Amino acid sequence: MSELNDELTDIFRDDAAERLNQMETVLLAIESGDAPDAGAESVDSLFRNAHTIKGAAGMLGLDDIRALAHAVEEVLAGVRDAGVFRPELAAPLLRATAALRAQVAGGAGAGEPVAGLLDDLAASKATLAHGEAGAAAPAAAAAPGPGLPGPRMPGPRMPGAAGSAAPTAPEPDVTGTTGVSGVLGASDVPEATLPDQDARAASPDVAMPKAGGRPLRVPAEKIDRLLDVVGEVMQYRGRLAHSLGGQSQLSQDAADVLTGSDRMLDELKDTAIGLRTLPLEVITRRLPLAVRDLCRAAGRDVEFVVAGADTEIDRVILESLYQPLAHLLRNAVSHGIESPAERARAQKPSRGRIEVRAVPRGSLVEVVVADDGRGVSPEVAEQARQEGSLGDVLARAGYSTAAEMTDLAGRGVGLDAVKAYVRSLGGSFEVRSEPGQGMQVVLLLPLALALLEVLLFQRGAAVYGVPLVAVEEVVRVTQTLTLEGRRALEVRGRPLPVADVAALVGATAPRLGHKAAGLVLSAAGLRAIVTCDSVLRKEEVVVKPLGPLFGGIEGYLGATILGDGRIALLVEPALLTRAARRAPVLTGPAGGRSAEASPAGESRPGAGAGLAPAQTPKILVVEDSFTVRELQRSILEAAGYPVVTARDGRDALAAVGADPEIALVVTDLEMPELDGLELTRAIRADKARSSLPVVIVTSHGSEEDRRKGAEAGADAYMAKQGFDQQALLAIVERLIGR
Amino acid sequence: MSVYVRLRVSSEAFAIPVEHVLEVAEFGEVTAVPRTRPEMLGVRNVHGQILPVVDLALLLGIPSTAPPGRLLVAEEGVRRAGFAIEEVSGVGELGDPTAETVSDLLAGAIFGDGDLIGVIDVPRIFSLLQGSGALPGPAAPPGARVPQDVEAPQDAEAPQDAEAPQGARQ
Repeated sequence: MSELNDELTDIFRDDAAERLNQMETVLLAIESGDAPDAGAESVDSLFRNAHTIKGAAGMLGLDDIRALAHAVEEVLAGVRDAGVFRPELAAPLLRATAALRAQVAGGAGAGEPVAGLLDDLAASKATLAHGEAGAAAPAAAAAPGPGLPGPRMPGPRMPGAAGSAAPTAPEPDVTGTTGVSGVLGASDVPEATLPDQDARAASPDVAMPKAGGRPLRVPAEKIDRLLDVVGEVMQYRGRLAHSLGGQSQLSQDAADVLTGSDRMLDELKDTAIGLRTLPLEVITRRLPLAVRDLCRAAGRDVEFVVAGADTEIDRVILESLYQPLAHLLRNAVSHGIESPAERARAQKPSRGRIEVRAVPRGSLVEVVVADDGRGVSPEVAEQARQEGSLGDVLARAGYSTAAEMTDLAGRGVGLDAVKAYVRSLGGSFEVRSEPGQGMQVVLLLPLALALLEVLLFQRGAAVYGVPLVAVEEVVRVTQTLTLEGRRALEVRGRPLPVADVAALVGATAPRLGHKAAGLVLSAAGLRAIVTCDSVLRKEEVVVKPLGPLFGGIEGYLGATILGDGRIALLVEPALLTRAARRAPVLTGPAGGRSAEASPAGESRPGAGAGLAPAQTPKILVVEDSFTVRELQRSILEAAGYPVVTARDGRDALAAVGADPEIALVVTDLEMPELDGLELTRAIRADKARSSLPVVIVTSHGSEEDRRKGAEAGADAYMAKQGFDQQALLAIVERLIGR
Repeated sequence: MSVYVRLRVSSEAFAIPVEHVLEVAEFGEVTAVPRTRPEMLGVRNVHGQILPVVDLALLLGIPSTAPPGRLLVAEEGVRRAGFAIEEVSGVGELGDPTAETVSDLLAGAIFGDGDLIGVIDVPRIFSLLQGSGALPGPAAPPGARVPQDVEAPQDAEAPQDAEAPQGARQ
């Protein structure tokens, strides 16, 4: 936390020095009478700069700077009201900026004593206040300033009351110091500052503008405490419900009161969460400068763009997000974006582009760092195709070593840490990249940390919870199919892998009954059914971290204390869907780890499941027999896949070339014009589509055919006589798994 | 001379500097957290907060003779954990510990009552358990994480091996 504070202080120093430069330039011009416009614009820019320095200094606890800047601001406000900037006023202001510069650079004790300066400035201000009353009208005439509704001082003012600010309206100048202050408030600076309101405390006799719509300064810990208390109240509410038993046992009156209080509690909770969120801008504001410096150091030319900076994120997450974000940007600059010369060779615009963008997604926020650099190496891309997740590949230790990071392969520098960070927040992490095509790192983060809607379920003696957003539906699991050695169940026409939650998390539990409950989960781009003894209820729970001592553990969002005092573990749904997908569970009760430990086994040439595009992949069916073609089309369409058809290999090749959305080819072997083997070879030879999965379906079932198909580069082979729709769907699912 | 809480872990005597001891509680009901290192027994609800529970005997490599009777809540900074122990035998002053550390987990040893009493090094134990998971600082070399990564699978597999036979029996 103090790191953040130090960093902010450094940023403040740079920023303030720059602003003081600007102020001095203007003041010198005014003093020498050279100012072309000694009225509106000059005063306005001076005022803005002073105001910004004041706000930032106040937030960082640099009181002398704040007081001085405030006094300067007061003089400038008087000047503006007077409508005339008399050159002799510039001198005391220049002394003040010099003192400010010394303070900013050297900390306390540097430069002229602040107290004396404050007196001088108060005196300057007093001369303005006296005898200049009539000047207000010319001021308005001289400064009609379009877009100049600048921060004016409303109401009566305390002349010369340096340090006791009159209330100001929030400034239109979006230097946005308010946001940063909130972040800081949580850490080192005891008081988070929303725009200045210290006037209230300091000079109670100042007339207040209307109460509505004005920001109020609240210490950040108070907001945290509020949310904590809301959480605790909800916990008590849970216990109350538990001890009262069901609603049926209550009188109508009591039930009504409970319902009403629940409604208010919900509102209270939402309001409290609203207080905790801040726009992403709070941390991205500092990024352009940092990226610029990185680019200079690395000799890169980059356009840096931040989109969705107004997206609101939990303050606690924001605090911790800066470092991972900076890390990803460092990676993008030093390992992603090529040198201008290299870009020219690759026929890319010489100027690279890096974008940070945030998009709210329901109870989550998606934060993406994208670049148009060189992307991953072909080897890494291939490995990702086989394993299913580029993020997992890059985040592995092997890609974290310095030796590899210097080369094309390495983009995973510290990605393991970023991944661990995101998962520790209950979010998910994904990387998309193709060689030469840049890289996108996607972080999905929860909107609010403390409270989570979960579905609670029982397995053995333990109670688990998964975020409700990941649960599609709950089904009875009576009988399962066996597909490729794995248990599966068809849900809405699509077979999904089925696995016991105890096996997935690695817990021991008695064998499941015949009528187990199944949660249809969707996470990390994968779907799976997770079985348990019974589903308990949906509940909004207070998420408590497992604590730092569980540091390395993945797969848990934390734990929560239930109404009866028991603890429920909150499981990360991505852990479950991934493990269910990968574990060949039928050989025995496998631990959750077996998912990671299992050998690569079958290759997965299709698009990695974790990276599958959101839209449903399109399938091309190639078959010369109308009947068979229609049958296959029907089966696939019933399962929800868009299907296009072709009558022979030549038509098929044309279709593949013309339609980039085709994600899989199911082809007959023997066809006129161009047969299935030739089609497969042609696809493999096509640079653009060489990784397109191909399934060969034929009436022959011979080993010879199978070998030929494999040699041609087919990913799967099916015999027509054994043809059943489940098997086809299972293969399709495996290749372009969703 | 400093003040220590003296305790027994599976009948062996140890001491913890009193400033690291928050409270001593009933052992209580512990919820297992699967896929953690075997020394982590799970979590327990203490005053509405989640507290990790550590099998001190296993961690120290002492054969455990009886189920733990008490929970000693240790803290260091923001890190807290409950240590499963047999009992607390007293609180009082003990001499300064010997300079040589006999174990990675001990801050030294003290002669007292004819016993050699190990002084439990709470910060080191916490750091050991904590392992990886936090973001390294910007200056931390990427390689610094490698030993942790190598270690992790071993930790993870240990409980699985232990559970596999149980699973098979079901």
